[in-house]
Amino acid sequence: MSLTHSTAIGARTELRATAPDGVRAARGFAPGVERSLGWLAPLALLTLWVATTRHASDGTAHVMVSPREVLDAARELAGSGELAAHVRASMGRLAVGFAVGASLGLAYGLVAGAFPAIRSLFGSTFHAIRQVPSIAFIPMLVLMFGVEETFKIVIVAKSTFFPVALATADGVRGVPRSFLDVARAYRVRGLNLLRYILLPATVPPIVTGLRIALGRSWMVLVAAEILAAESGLGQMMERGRQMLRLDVVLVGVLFTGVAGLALEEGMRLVERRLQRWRRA
Amino acid sequence: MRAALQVRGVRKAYELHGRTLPVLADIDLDLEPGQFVSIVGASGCGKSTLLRLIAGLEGDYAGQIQIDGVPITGPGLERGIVFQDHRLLPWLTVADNVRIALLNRPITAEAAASLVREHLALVGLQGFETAYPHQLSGGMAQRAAIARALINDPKVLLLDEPFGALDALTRIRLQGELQRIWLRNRSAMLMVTHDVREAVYLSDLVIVMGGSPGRIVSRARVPLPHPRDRALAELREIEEEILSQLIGPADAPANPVVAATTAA
Amino acid sequence: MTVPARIWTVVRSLLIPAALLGTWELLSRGGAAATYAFVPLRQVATAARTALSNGELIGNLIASAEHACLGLVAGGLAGLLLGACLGASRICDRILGPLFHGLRQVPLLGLAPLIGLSFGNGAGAKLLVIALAAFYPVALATAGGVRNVERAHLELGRALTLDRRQVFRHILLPAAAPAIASGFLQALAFAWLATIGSELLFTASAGLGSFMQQAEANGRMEMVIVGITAIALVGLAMNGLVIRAVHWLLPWHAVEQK
Repeated sequence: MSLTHSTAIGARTELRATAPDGVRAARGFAPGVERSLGWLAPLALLTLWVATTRHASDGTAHVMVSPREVLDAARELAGSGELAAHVRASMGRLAVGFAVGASLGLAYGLVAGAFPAIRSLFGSTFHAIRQVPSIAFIPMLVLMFGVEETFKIVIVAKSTFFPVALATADGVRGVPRSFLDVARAYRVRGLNLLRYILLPATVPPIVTGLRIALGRSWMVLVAAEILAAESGLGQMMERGRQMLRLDVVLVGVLFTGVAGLALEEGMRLVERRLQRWRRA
Repeated sequence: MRAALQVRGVRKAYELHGRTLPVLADIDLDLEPGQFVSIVGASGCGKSTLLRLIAGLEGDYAGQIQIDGVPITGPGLERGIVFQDHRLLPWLTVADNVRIALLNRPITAEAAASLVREHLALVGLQGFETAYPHQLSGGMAQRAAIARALINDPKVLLLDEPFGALDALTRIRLQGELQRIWLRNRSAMLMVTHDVREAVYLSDLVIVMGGSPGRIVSRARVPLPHPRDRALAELREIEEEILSQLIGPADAPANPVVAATTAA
Repeated sequence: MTVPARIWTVVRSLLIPAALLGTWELLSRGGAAATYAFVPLRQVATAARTALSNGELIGNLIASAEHACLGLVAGGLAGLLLGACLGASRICDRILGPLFHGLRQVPLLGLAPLIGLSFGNGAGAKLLVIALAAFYPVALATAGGVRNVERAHLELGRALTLDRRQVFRHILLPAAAPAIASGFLQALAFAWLATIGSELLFTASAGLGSFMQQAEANGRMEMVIVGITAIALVGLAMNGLVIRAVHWLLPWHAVEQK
């Protein structure tokens, strides 16, 4: 057999993994154009809103409200201090309820996560109550505690308790066995064990659970305020609805949304700080 | 007789962030009907790219690729392809996976069913028609992929490192299976592999590629009759000759992939 | 598991509920005020029997279930369509994506007064809320499922010369199906929540939420408890049924329950 000989060959890094994608990226729009496309829809909606309300007659006053009117209502409410009072009331209840629910949830989660016996004992009850929407408890709690602060705090606590408990239990159970073995091998105990192994391992899922709980509880609180309250953003919106003041309602919606976003982003920041060692 | 596959002067380059990266240069090769040809070479020499061009899965090249004298335009059922990962659709049974290759053939359901049965028997998977891919071993799944590639009676069967993802023992077993299937079926085979021993054992012709951009460095004929005994001394000689080409004199650290092939 | 072990598991899961009920009964003996809040269990049982026999409970339950199903189907279909667009077309994703994700942040039930004012307080508003609640999980899951169809499988489709319709039917749809199914699972939970919520927040008509709302207005605690128990049981039953349905529909893939 004869072989045609040629130059020696050297090894070369595999190109194929990147090249075809590179070929694909070459097609399509320029990156700047693509990014600005994202603003198209919101801008279109905003324009539509302004356009329809500009030409609306008086008869449609409570069906459509212009952005200007919403801003005016916001300014009015802020000026009279009403808005601030409502926000303070809502936030106060959220804070107390969240604190109560979160601490109870942490406690239960730690115990349930560490001791399977507890989990099997309480598990089914926990699950049964958890999957009932928090809002469904409102009638019951109103009958028990009246329309005062207590019932709202209780419902926020309920809404906070379950996600936090679940996340904590998962976090505790998720501490890898191997870490605990290492701890035992190097005789890391007590406070050190907590600080160097248990806490860093469990804190991330717990904080995620806290964030989810916060978001959910905020929604539940607003709903509770709509149904039965004397103050708060939810109640402000409900009163606006009863008085057919769409602009007031929209102000409420705006602030509810912004508050929710702020809370969520705040928690995410905390999450990220605590997880500096971890890549998302 | 016309060559089943004819590749003339093929060149390809990728555009990456404005730079041009040449991958293939001046590839000429012929595949006779019923012939078994392997392409070996180090990683990155473009052999898989060449196969994908022939399969029609990639385009944008200079030169000519013809099947039976007809230039190719994209993928076609006259070229079957077996990938390194079996690519069986996980939601279909083995039989349905093979049958899916018949979607664009105007045949009756009964004819399709019997074709499927026939080809599953050919690859030794009779009885596994209703199994799901996740229930199969790697070797069995790859056999199903081969059945799927052969069911349209392709003029050329393209295999892209078909046994690369399997363990060593399964690989050896499947090499024997492939030889048996090919002898029954006799379609032209073009296989890309990094395993020189595998190439020499199975092929009539081994094409060695290398360099950057990839070129054909040499062609080694293996004029031994089929079916072959793995232990033949002549096979070893040809293998050594090819390896000495791949592991060039200037190479201090040996290419780990090729080094593994040389181990007994 | 042996029979005694199985019995023990059942008993063990009932221990805490039994303890809770016992505590409740104890508290209800604490005087007139306590009886108002913690109604004796006997009263609850009587109320339950009454509500069941006069069809009130079942009727409201079916009404709630109807609302939930309608909203789930409406929102789910819309979500499926949008999700498929977002997943399959990059342009669609670029244009509609930011708006979609932005609106997702707004709490649905917080919008209730707004919806009530704009669309009235009746069945239409409720359906809108439920459909919206179901819409987002399905859209998100569908978009993800379609986008993440393995390129290797799509390439196989090309190699087999399958046209667009064939690729959609034989590759895209089955590949995205598990994700879509889990999206619907999530949407079911949200739709149920939205059903109860919207029944509470909007004018009373039929449904378990309205049932409880009326009981609250009349100060009938035992009816409220009957209502909550019914909701809990329906929720549990729903979860079990849906998981089984998914296992049956998609035998090659296990879907995780949240």
